[in-house]
Amino acid sequence: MAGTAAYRKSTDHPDRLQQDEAFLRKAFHASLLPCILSILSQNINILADGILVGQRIGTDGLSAISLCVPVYLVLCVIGSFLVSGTAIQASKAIGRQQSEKSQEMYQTAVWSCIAASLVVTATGFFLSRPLTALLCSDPAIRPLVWEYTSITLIGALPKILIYVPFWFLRMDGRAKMVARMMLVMGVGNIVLDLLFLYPLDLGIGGAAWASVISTAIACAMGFFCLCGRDSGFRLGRRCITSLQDWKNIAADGSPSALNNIFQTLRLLAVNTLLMEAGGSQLVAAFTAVNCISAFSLSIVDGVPQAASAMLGIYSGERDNGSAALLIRREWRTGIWCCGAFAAVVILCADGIAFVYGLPLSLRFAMVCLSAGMFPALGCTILSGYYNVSGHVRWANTIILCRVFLASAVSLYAALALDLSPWWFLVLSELITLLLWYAATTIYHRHHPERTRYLLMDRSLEEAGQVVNFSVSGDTEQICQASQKIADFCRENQMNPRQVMRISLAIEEVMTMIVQENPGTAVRFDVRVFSLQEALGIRIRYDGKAYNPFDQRKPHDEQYLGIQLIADMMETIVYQRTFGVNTVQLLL
Amino acid sequence: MTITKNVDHNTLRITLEGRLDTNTAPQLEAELKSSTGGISELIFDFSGLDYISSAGLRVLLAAQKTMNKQGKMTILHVNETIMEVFEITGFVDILTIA
Repeated sequence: MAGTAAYRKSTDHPDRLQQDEAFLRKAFHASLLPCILSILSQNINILADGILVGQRIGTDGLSAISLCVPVYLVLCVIGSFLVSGTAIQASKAIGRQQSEKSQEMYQTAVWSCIAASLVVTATGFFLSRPLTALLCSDPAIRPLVWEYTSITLIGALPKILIYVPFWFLRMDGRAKMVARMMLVMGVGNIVLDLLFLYPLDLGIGGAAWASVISTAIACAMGFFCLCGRDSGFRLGRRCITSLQDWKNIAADGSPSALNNIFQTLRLLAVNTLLMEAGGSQLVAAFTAVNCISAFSLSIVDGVPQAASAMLGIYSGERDNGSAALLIRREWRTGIWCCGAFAAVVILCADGIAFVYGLPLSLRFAMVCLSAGMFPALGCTILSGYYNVSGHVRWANTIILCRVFLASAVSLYAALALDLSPWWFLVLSELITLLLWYAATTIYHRHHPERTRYLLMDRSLEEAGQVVNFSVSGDTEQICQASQKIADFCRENQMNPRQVMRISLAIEEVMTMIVQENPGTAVRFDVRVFSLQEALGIRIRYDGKAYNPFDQRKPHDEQYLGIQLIADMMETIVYQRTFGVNTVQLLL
Repeated sequence: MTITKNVDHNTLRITLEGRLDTNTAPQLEAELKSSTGGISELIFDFSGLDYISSAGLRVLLAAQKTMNKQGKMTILHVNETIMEVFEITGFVDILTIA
């Protein structure tokens, strides 16, 4: 199905250039499974950890770990805040062809995480006794809490730093490496738990060390990859100092951090309300439901995560057409994944209740959880997009509403109306979407220049100053695109020389790339722009990592076309990001 | 691309209209192969030609090499944009452009 055409009049003239989603669908799907597996392996790890500690140490050990969650949460908030903020800024810089800025953001991520972890470790150690007293009022298990907390604080560095490879490897197009990292962390934690808890009998401290060491190994793996020759990122000593840059990082990092905070507040609020309404039995049932809900996040959070690097780059390029196509693809793929997950959990509802030793049925809870996944997916796709596109307040508001406010209010209302409490799993998401719909309606009335739902500024497209289109790696299609682009060029008052240069660039560059990828169906996404400050073409293509301007030999006939383009263009920039190649040519 | 051939004794005149690109260059190459036998003068009329890419340049280069042995080759009515391509690639020194 043809995607959004950023070229006006495309619906009137079917022979005009159009963009489809074939290219970005391939790039998105390549990233999706590793993202889902990363989150899944993390949740399996948490589940297995709880089981092993509970089995070996007993309820005291489990309670101690549970009481230490706020410390773990602080590390997650710091890591996600610093790294998601710098990573989103880096992806926008890549989209604006500011590769040095993106490197600076990467280095800032690394150094700020190191600095933050040293501060957290030092502060935690200095205040370890008062901190333990704050976390745990029961003197019987306070020594366990102190031991687990202290070791967690010693391991603050890998726990915070691991966010760097988690985000930047995905931006580098190596989502599979991220999945391997998370798998190593999960499996490593379980193996070390078994070793430290059983033969070495290290108690709660052993469980803590297992977590720290497995995270450190996974983190080292990730950095080994990031520092490799093929990496698009270079480690260095730079750190951004501009206040505006830090404000931008804070803004972009806030949704990720707030998500972690509101998840904990939600847990507290829901547990409190359920305890009051149905006692420990209902809370126990929610523990099981919450565990399955955490698994559902592999899809609800995994889908937008897989698209985040690409969306950041499109946002930096102001490529609204590609962003809109990608968001549509997220939704279409996501609902299939939600459907599959829903089918499994509903069918296995009785089995889940049995495993947790619950006397009541979880079927209705699983139905509500499954039904809630679909609007939840809509919410996370929207908040993910708003986060990278500069509408951070919208992203934070959606997160606040769906994760905490609407959850607490809808649960309270369900209990007050004597309905099943599980309705809140659906209602919180639906209420959020309804509020979002109302808010965008009001916003659109005041800002009609923005698009209705995604709040995009389409002034460039409306003025006909940019055109996006897709081309398959077929000589005939390439030559046709080269011919058709002349219409756009003439409508933007380009002179015959410029028209020729754009047409030639499309044919020569794409033909060379196709020749270098024999047997591969290469696809191209092209953007031609005619702006006040710049006139040029951006060609994005899959296939192997290849810069057609890198290996040209001036007197070799094979490179005649590429040499011609190199001599015609003012600037040529090549980048490889999220596993695809980009060449930008400026006249 | 439209190729119009005109043979007058030992002179072959080829008029091109449209675009000489990767897609159409083989068509011209085939025409030249079948038509240049026994020809001592080859004339290209580019009055209707809007566009030329490296694929077209290679065909012209091959034709020039052939005609260097048999006689001569001339290109007429080259527009500004195509002339710029010849200048940038150095073909202006290889080809005879009138």
